[in-house]
Amino acid sequence: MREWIKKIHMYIGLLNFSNLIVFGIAGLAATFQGGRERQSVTEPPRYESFTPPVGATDRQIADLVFDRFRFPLAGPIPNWALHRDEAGNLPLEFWTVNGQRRLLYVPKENRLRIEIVHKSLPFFLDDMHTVTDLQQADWRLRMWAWYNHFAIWSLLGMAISGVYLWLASRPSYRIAQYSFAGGAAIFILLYAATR
Amino acid sequence: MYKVLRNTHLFLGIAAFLFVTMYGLSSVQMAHQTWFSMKSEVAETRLTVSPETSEDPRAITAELRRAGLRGELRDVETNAAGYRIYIQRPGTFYRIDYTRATREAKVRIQTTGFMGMLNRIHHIGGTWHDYWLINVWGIFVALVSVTLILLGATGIYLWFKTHGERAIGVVLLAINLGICVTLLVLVRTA
Repeated sequence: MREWIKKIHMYIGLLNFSNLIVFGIAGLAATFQGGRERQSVTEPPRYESFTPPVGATDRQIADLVFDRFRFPLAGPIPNWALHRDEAGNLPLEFWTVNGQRRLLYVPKENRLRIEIVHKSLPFFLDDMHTVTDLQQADWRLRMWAWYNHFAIWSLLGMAISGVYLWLASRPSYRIAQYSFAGGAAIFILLYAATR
Repeated sequence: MYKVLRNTHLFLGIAAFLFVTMYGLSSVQMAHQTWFSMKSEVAETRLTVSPETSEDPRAITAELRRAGLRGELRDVETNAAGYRIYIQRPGTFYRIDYTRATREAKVRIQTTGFMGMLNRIHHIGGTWHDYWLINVWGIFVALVSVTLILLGATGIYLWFKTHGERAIGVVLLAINLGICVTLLVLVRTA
């Protein structure tokens, strides 16, 4: 039994090595974020002329812009994100794991202001670790979401099988006992204090 | 060397067991949102802010904290009557409507259950928060992140030293690297 669990633990670990590293980097990216806003690099804005049909609704304008650019990995703007600003312009932000495409439709000038925001590699990996929606429009993200699901279950499997392997092989090992008790005590204390 | 890394793998893995389980369970909840009830409880209370406290929302928040509202100041909205202040800690969310004329704070307290609590802990990161307990969690997020990387690295070493498992291990590792690295590169360069 122990030998089989050890094999499974090892095989699952090998099948999830990259994901484990991605999860680790994601945590470190969040640690060094330094504030609520993430650091990013924004390209200088460029402008393109854009004249929607007379009487077009904000929804229709957003769909026209989406069809015109078809930014890779970006989906259509949801209804809840469609709001005019105080000047009557329509901000349209297309979010992707690689960064944002921030567009502003300025009706008085019949043009679009286009800003491209780039995300650094650690924040890209941080966002990739959150991709679990299996209904992704893009096949690459859909495949990644499937692998992420596998990695989530694997993480739980490795944690449980790891504790089993310790208990089945060296349960009386003092330092291991202290490690387990210390880690568990810290978690439970923090949880209780936060609750 | 083998013994040292095997013990390191064991100590780190079991020390981080509850943290990793928390991340795993909360990830399952986020990936399968219909599987768990995330219903929260709502209560209301009223507090009166002392006349000595200035009109500054931070000063009001400080007094409310002294009255027992623990958490991080998330946002302040100004309105005609006064302020709407949001204070949050994992599992508990306060929305305070402060009325300037009466110095009264109407506090709406929203409390989540176990899975909601795990969900919010999962989202903690960094030590820049204005509530110390969230910063302590942030330190452990960093430690667990490093632990995951070390578990991966030591795990690879331990597998490589298990000669009978090398052939199948190479295949499994190649599958993982092949799929994941390819997908990461394809998405990053899209």
